[in-house]
Amino acid sequence: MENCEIMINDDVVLIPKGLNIAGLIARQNMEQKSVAVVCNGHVVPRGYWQGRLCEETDKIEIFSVVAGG
Amino acid sequence: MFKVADHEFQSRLFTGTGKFSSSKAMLAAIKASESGLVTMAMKRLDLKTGNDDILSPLLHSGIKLLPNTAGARNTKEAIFVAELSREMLATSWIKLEIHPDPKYLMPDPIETLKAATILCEKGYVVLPYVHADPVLCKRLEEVGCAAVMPLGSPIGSNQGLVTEPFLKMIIEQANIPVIVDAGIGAPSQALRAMELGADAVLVNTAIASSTNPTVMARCFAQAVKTGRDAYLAGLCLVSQHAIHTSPLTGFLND
Repeated sequence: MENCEIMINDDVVLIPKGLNIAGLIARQNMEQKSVAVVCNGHVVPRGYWQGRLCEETDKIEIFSVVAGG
Repeated sequence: MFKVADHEFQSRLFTGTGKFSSSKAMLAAIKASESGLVTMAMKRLDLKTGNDDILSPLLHSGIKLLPNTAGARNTKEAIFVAELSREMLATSWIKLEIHPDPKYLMPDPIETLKAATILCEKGYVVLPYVHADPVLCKRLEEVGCAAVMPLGSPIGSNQGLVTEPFLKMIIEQANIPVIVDAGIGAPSQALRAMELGADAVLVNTAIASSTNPTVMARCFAQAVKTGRDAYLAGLCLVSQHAIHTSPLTGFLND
C-alpha cells in the first residue's frame, strides 16, 4: 500500500494513503474516547472520524485531558 | 442542595486535579474531599511519551468534569479549547480562564468578558475565573454565565483571601453562584470564604501539595461545611469597641 506523510503534533508521521481519522487514532494506540482531533485548525467531531481521510497536506493535532486546577 | 445551572451538588467543595504525585493519590483525595466537581486541562498529546491517563478513572468515578481553558491567552484560543473539551468530554461546561501573564496568572478581564459572551451565546455553561472585581462579575452574570469564580489570591500561592472585602461585595450583589477560586491555602481560609456567604470554593494546590492529600482533603470538606453552617447561623456584627456580655452592676464599690 502506498504511504504518505502527514504532520501530527509537529511530528512527521508516515501513514498508509486513504487512512481515516478513526484509523489514525487506532494506529497511534490511542483510546478514541480520550482524545480530540484538530485538522488544519478545526476540531473534527467524532462522528466524522470515519469519513474524514487523512491527506498529505494535513496538519493534525491530537489533544488529551491532563491534570489541572 | 446547591445548584450550578441545572446540576445539583451535595458538596460545596470543588477540587482540581493538578499537582498530585500520582493518579492514585489524586483519586483518594478527591474521594475524601466529597467533591462533586473536578477541574482538568487540555493539552496537545506528546506522541513519544503520551499524557497521564487521568480521564479513565475520573469517568469511572462518576464525578462531574469541568474542563478549563488554561493556556489560552485570548478569546479566540479560549473558544478553541472550549470546543475541544466539549468534543472530547461531551460536556458544555467550561471553566473559562484566560491568563496570559505567567508570573501572577492574573486573569485578563477584557478577553474573559468577550469570550464569556460568545460561549454563553453558543450554549456553553460558563464558569469564568476572574479577579475579585464586583463590576466584572455583574457583567459576566448579565451575559449569562452560570457562576463566577473570583480569586482569593494568585493561583497556587496559598495566600488565602487577600481579596476579602471585594469578595464580600461580589457575594452581596450576585444572583448566580459565587465560587471562590485560587489561593486558598488552608482549611481555615476555605471556612472563611464560606462564612462570608460564598456558594462554594475550589481548592487544588493546598490539597495536592500537602504531605497527606487525603487527610487534607477531608479537613477542607469539614471546613467548608462548618463555614456554610456558620453563614446560615448568622455571624454577629463586628464592633470597634467592647460590648459587655456580663451585667455591669458595680457590686464592688456601689
